[in-house]
Amino acid sequence: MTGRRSIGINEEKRDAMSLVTGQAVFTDDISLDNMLHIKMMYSPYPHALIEEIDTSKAEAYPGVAMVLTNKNTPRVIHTTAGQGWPEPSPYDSYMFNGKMRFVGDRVAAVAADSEEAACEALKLIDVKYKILPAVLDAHDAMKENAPVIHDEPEITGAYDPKRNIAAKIEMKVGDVGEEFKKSAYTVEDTISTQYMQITPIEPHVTITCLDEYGRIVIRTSTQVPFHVRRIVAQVLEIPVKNVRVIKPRTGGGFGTKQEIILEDVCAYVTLKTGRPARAICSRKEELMSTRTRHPMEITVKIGADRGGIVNAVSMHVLSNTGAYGSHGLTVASNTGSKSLPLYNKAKAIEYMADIVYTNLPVSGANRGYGAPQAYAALEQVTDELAYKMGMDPVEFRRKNHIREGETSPVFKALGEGKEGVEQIIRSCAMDELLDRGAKEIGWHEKHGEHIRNGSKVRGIGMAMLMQGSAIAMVDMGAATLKMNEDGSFNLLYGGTDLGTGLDTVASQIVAETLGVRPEDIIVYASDTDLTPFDVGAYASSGLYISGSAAWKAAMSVREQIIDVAKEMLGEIDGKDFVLEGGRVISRSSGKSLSLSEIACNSLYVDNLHQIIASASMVSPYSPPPFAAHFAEIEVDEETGIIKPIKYVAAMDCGQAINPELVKGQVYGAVSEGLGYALTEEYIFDKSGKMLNGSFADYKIFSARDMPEIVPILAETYEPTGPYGAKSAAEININGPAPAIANALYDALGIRIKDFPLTPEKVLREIKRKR
Amino acid sequence: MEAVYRINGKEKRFDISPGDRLLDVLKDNGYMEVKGDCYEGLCGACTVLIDNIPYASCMVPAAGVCGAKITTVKGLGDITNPHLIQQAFVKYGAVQCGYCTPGQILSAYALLLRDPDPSEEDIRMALDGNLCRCSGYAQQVAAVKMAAEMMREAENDDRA
Amino acid sequence: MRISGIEECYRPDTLEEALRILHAHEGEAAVVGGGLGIAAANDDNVKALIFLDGIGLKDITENGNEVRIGSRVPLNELIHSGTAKNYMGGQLTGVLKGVSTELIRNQMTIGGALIPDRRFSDIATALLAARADVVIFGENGQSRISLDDFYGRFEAVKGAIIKGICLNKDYSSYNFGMERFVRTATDSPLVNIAIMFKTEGNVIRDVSIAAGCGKSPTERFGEGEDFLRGRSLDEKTAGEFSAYVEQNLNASDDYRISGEYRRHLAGVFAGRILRRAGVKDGSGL
Repeated sequence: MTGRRSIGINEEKRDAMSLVTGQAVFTDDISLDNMLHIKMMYSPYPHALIEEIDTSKAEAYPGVAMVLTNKNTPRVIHTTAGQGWPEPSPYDSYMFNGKMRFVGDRVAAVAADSEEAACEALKLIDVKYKILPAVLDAHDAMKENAPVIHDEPEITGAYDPKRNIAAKIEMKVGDVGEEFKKSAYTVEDTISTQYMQITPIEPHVTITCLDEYGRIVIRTSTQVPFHVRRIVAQVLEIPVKNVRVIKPRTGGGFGTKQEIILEDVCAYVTLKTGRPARAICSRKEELMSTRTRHPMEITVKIGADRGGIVNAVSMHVLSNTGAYGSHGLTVASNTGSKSLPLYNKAKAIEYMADIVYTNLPVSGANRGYGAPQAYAALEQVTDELAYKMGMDPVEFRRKNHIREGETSPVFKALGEGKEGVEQIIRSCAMDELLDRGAKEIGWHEKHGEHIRNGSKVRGIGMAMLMQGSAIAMVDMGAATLKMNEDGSFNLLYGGTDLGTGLDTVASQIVAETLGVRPEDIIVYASDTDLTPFDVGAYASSGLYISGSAAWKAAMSVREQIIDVAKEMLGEIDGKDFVLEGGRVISRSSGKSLSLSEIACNSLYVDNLHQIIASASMVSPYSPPPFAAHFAEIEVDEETGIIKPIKYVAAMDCGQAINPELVKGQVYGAVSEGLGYALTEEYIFDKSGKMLNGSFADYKIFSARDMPEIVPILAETYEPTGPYGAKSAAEININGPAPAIANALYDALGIRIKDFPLTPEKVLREIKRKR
Repeated sequence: MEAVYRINGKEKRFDISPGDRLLDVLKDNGYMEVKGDCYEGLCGACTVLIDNIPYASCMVPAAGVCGAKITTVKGLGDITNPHLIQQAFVKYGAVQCGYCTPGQILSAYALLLRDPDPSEEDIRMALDGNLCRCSGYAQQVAAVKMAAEMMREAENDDRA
Repeated sequence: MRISGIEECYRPDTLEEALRILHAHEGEAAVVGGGLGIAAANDDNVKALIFLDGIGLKDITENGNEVRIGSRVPLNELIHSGTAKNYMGGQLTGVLKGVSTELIRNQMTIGGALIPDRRFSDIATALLAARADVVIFGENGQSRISLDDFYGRFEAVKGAIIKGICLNKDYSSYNFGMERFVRTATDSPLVNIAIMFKTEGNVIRDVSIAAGCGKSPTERFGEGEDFLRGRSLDEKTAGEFSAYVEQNLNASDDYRISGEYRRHLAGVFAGRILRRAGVKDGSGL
């Protein structure tokens, strides 16, 4: 392999021009003839049985084709979680449930000729509810005599539904009790995180239709086309072969679209009426009735010896999975598995989690997948420990973090729904990250200085982070690469680009392997009929798995190209052939051929065959990216308002295949993390109804709210990753919550134990401290 | 009722309902480059220019802007001939999922029309109605700054 | 989806015509200035829209001793208008610069911002503190009342059409400041307070205070005005006034922030407005 031509280059994002000119076609950008519009009716009660439901008036409304309720839709219990089969989430949902389990649960739906008709018809549906006592707090879920949320006999895969426990995790390595006795210093604290949602600006939207063969075609804004296909087939009780799922351009997902939300309903309407069907969520429906991040209460206890080396860690989690259990077990597994290995010097580690049902919105997948919650707690408690020991927080991290060549028992002990896989760290630049990050923020000049300007005080905080690159032995992606007569290639793969730039990066990887330009790779993705399988865009698996699959296919195609070149050049040994600049060059003879000559020869002239290869990628490795984040804030003592001033995100993601795209991931994840830390939360009334289901009161950062963000990329080479790369997609969302909380402590000596750190809470704590 | 608009330089006659939002009329008539989301004027995905001023088209009653000059992102340039702002967004990594992008570009265009040399603060103020989840806004602000420079240079070249 | 229930649209040429249509529909018609109010409310009861763009009401003019702002002037035009920027040395337009988003600043009209709608309004608070008069056109023709009066008699005047507001140049030399609390930069204010006052030899002689803290969109804080009148503009007054506001301002409680916190913020802001004015006067605060 010759020097790098496409790796590490800021190649233009291949869909960028199409997006800036408004050409790109998103799910809702097409309109089909005779299309039905679906509107949903939602439960006003947190816990209620549907005793009677009269849809006759709605059905009679002009333009209405169909009214769906639990009475006339398939009775197949399933999970809505977009995960590999068999899904590690309880089967606890029906398309339409007979029991409503949260304010926002789906009661019924109307499919009509227009949105207006559907909305009017919804008002004509009469429902008689039997209101049941509700569980509105995770602490109440497991109490004796708590109302049972999932009492349906068909439920499977839940740990103990009679006690509202959707899942339970217990991991013990060594004996933390004994180890803590030996600690010179211990700190224990409990941090709570809130209901929130990373809101993609494009809402959930699905359009289904029948193709000319009577198969159901689902166009949907999704992260998981193949899981959609399987689960829709399951729910509709039709064979998978009768379903095709296409992911068009998608306006962000962030985990909320790792779920089957609208697809089954649309597909069923199409199946029953023969007509295309469209459903789209309003912003309120997005927030209330799709998927949120799991709120967690996390108690961390950490102990260290006299030298400041951690000797024991325990993490106990109460996770609120809301009314249905999707992703409940796996998110909570990740909370432990993506944080605890960082402190691998611990001789004893304990991780326990109870994932409980409540009559509140449904938690699912959200970027970070349990890790943001973990770090919100862990990196505050480690900070507290550092202060208790009189040690500089950065120094404390430096002494304790996992290093190259090392492992942690947590990797194997804590998988996602099943046992994990042992990992050895093969690339880790944490020391460099700590150094460069600390320098950039001005750690030594500013930390502990409480620089004051009137009532405003500055503080600096930091957090040390890791994540993973796909789920070892679970995430699989495949790719097919075929060659065209002009020396270009079609890459067909299941990689699911949500705007992240995965298609661009995949084309860079293939281009590097074949000695061509990324523009010579035509990428087509995420169509279950035409592209090979891929689990989808989650777990930071895009580059590592989907990209690697493309690489493997390219390596195979490379061999085929060399074979043809050998024949054409009459050389026996292909070992000295290199692919460069669109040509195959024999180093021994100096002769060369263009790729176009090779393709034409094999397509039309001699030894006729299509140069094509398919490859699958599943990895026993999930190499963690690492990061060190540093936040500078200014907090106003009189108002409690925290203003982030500067944020440094130093990250090691192995080789950055496209540094500009990587930086985009850093900026985006940090901005989402800042919202998580400071402004984003679901506010409920006493009946569990979300009050702030709109951007008017669910506050996400605008362009004017952003601090200066400085991404720092430290390059390492991950031998198990494509061209040395690791993931970058999720890790940076883990940093802001603890870094800002630690900065607040530096500024004012206060810690607020529940997120978000709103001004009112900060002020209350300031007053309390006085 | 009938309504006439001048969209991207072309006169268009549509049959609209009195309560239609401008966003509805545009989407019903094939202007899919205008995105819709919150229907509260708070996300900016539906931004269009009316007489070169950016508005959230979901909040504009269509019946009230009959005869107006409306510009969508397609009115600025296309793939074969993109506007300098569109080129800058592509060049400076300012596009991720692209859903907020048409709105951002129009807001940037309106800014640069009235201020050819905006400060970073001016740019953030002009883009503050276009919410983005993917990007943290950093690359977009940089792209607008570069677009301003590119446009000033092009203006100087034209004059030279 | 379209604004539901709208059946008819009108575009009258005169205010008289507009008012006639408004009353003919007996509560089922609404006047459209910029459109934000209608689009946001999505009120099923409104069946007819009356567009005012044929009537103008978009001028900003100086007439003798006052500045007149048409009710349909959008906020961005006000902020950038030379005439408005000259008023009170730019203190009024200055506090409105960062309100909401660029898209809303382009569409939100001065008249529309005055209507109570459950939230607080920076424009209403600023204008109330600036003692603006509002010109309305109602059943008895055109009349001009103080904004204070407009809110005081709102039930009686709400059927009228707002023509514009007038700012008196007598206040040009006054100090004016407004502070607000927002969760993100483009948020609607959760609380705001504006103070306009004049000092003579460092004594506060004339003062008006408005706050968006209790009732939408804003209220006068008469007791606060009584407190400040006759006091010296100094640190002691600023501190005591801050406490007074915190204890006495009418504040509503809602799920966003508590009334207690609102009052506290209003108090902090009130002190800051005074101090900033004091520093400017060189009175040594």
